[in-house]
Parts: sequence; C-alpha cells; structure tokens
Amino acid sequence: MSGFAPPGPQPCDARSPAARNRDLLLAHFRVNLARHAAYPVSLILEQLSYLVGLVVSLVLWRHLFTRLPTFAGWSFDDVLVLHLFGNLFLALFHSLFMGFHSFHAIVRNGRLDTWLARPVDPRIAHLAASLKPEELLNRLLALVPLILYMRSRGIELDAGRLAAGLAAMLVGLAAFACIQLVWCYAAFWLDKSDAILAFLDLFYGFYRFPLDALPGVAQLALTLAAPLLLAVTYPARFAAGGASWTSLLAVCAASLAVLAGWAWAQERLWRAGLDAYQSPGG
Amino acid sequence: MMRGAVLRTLTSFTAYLQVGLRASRAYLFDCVIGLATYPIEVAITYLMWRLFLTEGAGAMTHREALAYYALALLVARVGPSRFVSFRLESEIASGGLALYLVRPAVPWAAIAGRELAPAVVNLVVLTPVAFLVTTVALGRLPGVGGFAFLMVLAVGVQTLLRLIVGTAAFWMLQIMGLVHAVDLVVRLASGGVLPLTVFSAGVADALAWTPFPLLVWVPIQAMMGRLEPPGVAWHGAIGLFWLVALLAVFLALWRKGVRGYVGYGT
Repeated sequence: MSGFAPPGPQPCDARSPAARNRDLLLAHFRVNLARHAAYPVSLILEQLSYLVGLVVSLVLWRHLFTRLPTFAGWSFDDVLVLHLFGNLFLALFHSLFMGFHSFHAIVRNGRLDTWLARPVDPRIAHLAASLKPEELLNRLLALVPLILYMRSRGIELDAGRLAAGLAAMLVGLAAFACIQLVWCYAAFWLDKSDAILAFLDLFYGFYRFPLDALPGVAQLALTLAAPLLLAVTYPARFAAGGASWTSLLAVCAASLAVLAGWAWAQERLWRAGLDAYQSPGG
Repeated sequence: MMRGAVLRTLTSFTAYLQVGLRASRAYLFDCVIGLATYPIEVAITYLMWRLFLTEGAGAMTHREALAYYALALLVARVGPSRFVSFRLESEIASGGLALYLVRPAVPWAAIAGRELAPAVVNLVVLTPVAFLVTTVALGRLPGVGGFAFLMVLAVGVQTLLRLIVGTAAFWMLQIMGLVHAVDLVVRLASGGVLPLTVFSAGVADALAWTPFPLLVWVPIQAMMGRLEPPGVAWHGAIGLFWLVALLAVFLALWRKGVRGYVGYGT
C-alpha cells in the first residue's frame, strides 16, 4: 500500500466544505495582515499615500464648487458622501478581489492543479491566497479624517439611510466581483486576461465622480458592464438624502438582477473553463 | 512501436502548436482590447465634464471639449503607464533585480523599455484617430511639429517620475497607495482630468513652473494651435530642465537603493 493520500477531506476532518473555505480565508487574512504589520513604517507611509489621494481629490472638488453652485444636482457635501462610499467600495474591492488579476498566471503556468487537488473550492483558495488585508486597513484608516471633516461641516447622515446605502453598495460590490471573475476566466482560452481586467480598471478611476451626470444610455451601458453606479453613485446619493426609499429599492433590484446574471455566467464559464483546462505550463 | 512514436510526436507537436497559437492570440487580443478602451474612456470623460466645461465665461465649445479629451487621453496612453512603477516594485520585491544587476544591461532602462512597449503601439494606432477627431472637431489641421517635440520631452519626464516612484519599493513593502496618490496629483496638475483653465490664474501660474503641465496640457495646446513657436521653445526649455533634474534625483535614489539592496525575495 503506498503512502499516497487521495485528494479530498481527511477522515478526521469533520468540517463542512463551507467551514473549510471560511477557515482558509481567515487563516490567510491573519497571515497576510501579520506580514504587513511586521513593517509598520511601510504600512504608515502607504496609509499616508491614500490620505494624500483623498485630500487632493477633495481639494479639486472644493475648487470646482467655487465656480459652480451644484454639479448635476450634487453639492460639495454630497460629494463628500460620495467619496466615503467610493473609498469604502474600493477598500473592499481591492483587498478582497483584486488578487484575481493574477488568476490568469496560475492557469497559464499550471499551478491551478494544486488548487484542484485540494479539498477546497479553487476559487476560494486563490481568493484567500491573494487577500490584501493591509489595503483594507490602510484605506479604512484614511477615511477617519474624511468622517471627521464631514462632522465638522455638520453633515449628519441618517443611520437608517446609511445602513441601507451600504447594503446596496455591498450588492453592487458582489456584482462587480462576479464581472471580474467572468473576465478572469478568459484565461482558460486566451492564456491572458490582463487587458480585459485593465478595461475594468478603467472604471475604478471614476468612483470619485458623480456618474449620474452621464446621459441615460451611458448610465445603462455602464450599469451592465461595470456597475459602479449601482455600487457607489446611487447608494451615496441615497445616503446623502438626495433619493427616495423607492428609488433605492429600484437600485437594489437592478443590482440583484445584474448580480444574478453575472453570477450565472460566472458559474457556467468556470465549469466550461475547467473542461478546457489542460495545464500546459510548467 | 514505430507507429506509436510517430503518433506521440505528432500529438506533442499539435498540442504545443495550439499552446503557441493561443499565446499569439492572447497578445493580439490584449492589443485590441487596449485600443478599444480608448474611445470608451474619451466618451465617458467628455460626457462627464461636458456640462461643466461648456458653461460660463471663457468656456470651450462642445467640439473643443471633445478634441481636448481625445488628445489628453492619447497623450496619457503614449506616455508610460503606472506599470513602470509596479514593474520596478515587482523586480525589487521579488529579488528579480539581482538578475538584472549582474547583466551588462542598465536595469532601470531595461524595465522602463519593456513597459513602454504598449505606449508605442498606442502611438502608432491611436495618433491618427486622435488627429482625425481633432481636425474634424476644430475644423483645421492640428499643429504636429511642436506637439511631437514636446511629447518626446513629456514621455521622458513621465518615465522618470514613474521610475522615481518605483524606487520607493527599496524602502517600502508595497507602493500601491503611493503610485495611486502620485498618479492622481499628476493627472490633476497636468490637465489630464480637467483643462488647467479651471484653476485660478495664481494656481495655473505656479503650476507652469512644475513638470506637470508639460505632460498633457502643453502638448495639447501646441496641437490645438494655441502655442506659438516661442511658447513651444519656452516650455521645451522648462521640460529639459526637469528632465535633467529628475534624472539626477532618480539616479541618486537608485544608487542609494541598490547599495542597500539584499534581494531576499523569492
């Protein structure tokens, strides 16, 4: 009898697949955070960089609002709320899902085999290995001065609206993540997916702008292809008090529809991709 | 026996031919997607800011605003992207720089050259498109000579800025935040987001002494025929000054970084 253990859960491991995936995510989160915490100066410098980016963006908007009273119905205070939502979105997206940018590499070099041989979902395994908890920490800390500035300007967000806006943002975030996954799977047929992902990256830069200033057709196209409007612009507008509960429900319904569509495509393409996968790398 | 060997050879050949073809297709696809994002980015940026730019005193016409963004985003794509900084970071953090250091090639020049390749493709394919849009939008031929001269300086200055940011990886574990912050400052101060006319005269005058307007605003002014030859020469002189100054700063940082480099990555 050889010592080879077939892939799959060991007899003594009574955890469910979901519990194993969860434990894997938490373990990687802790390890990655500890790795970055070991270099505090680097962490602080990186955090300061995010703060500088935020300040520069707000200075621009402050200047623009000296030249016009409102921008497409947004006041400067509303733009502050937009920045809060935009940066939260980016903090979550970058720390959780940005690692999928390197997914094509593990398909091309054949390393996906190692994930396939383990008793966890390969997608979760790759997600866990590429988590960036330090990004989450840095970006969230950079928001503290923004929140203090908002309070100093007397901006008090209604707790119910804020919570509902954040929930809507999370649905939009999930839709955005599904879209990224779908494009990542192009690597199964094309070897590379950086160009398509760079296409998605193009939209991140617009998170600090009120995208509902775009014409309706452009908003619709953007909503289907890269739902930054659903994840950031509309929830921020709602939290700032510029939209009704009914419109938020409509946004949530649209987000769920986009999420369902892309999640379905994601699952189908994942299966098709695995069928096409030949592990030619080495 | 013989038949089996022939079959195995043919199968291997066909399989790896497919792998090679797939790689070629991937590069072609990369190129096409990269180029296809240009009109989308121009459209979103123009639609986003059109109301702001075309209202009030001294405003642009819609056609001028469209031409402005067609050129601004062309200039941004002809210059080196932030991936120059990320590549330098990757080589430093992974220990790959050690391999460059033992080669006769100049490491930072090799890294910058490799990352500038997509910019060359953009230059060849997108420039005629941007020229066409500008000519149609403005109703006259653009000023190509001054633009080309200023663009050479702009690419040099931009490359050095990217490399300087990349050297931060000698002392920082991760430079993503720094890259994004510098990128934002450069885009705003160079006219990449909004024309510099949106700033007050004092701010615009102060910016004129920095290297930033040369990166987007100044070449566009030359292209749109708003810069006379003395203006081109003046901005060229400022650009040359910054080229030399930034090269000196970069080389100082590079030498200091390489001296302390241990290449412990995997």
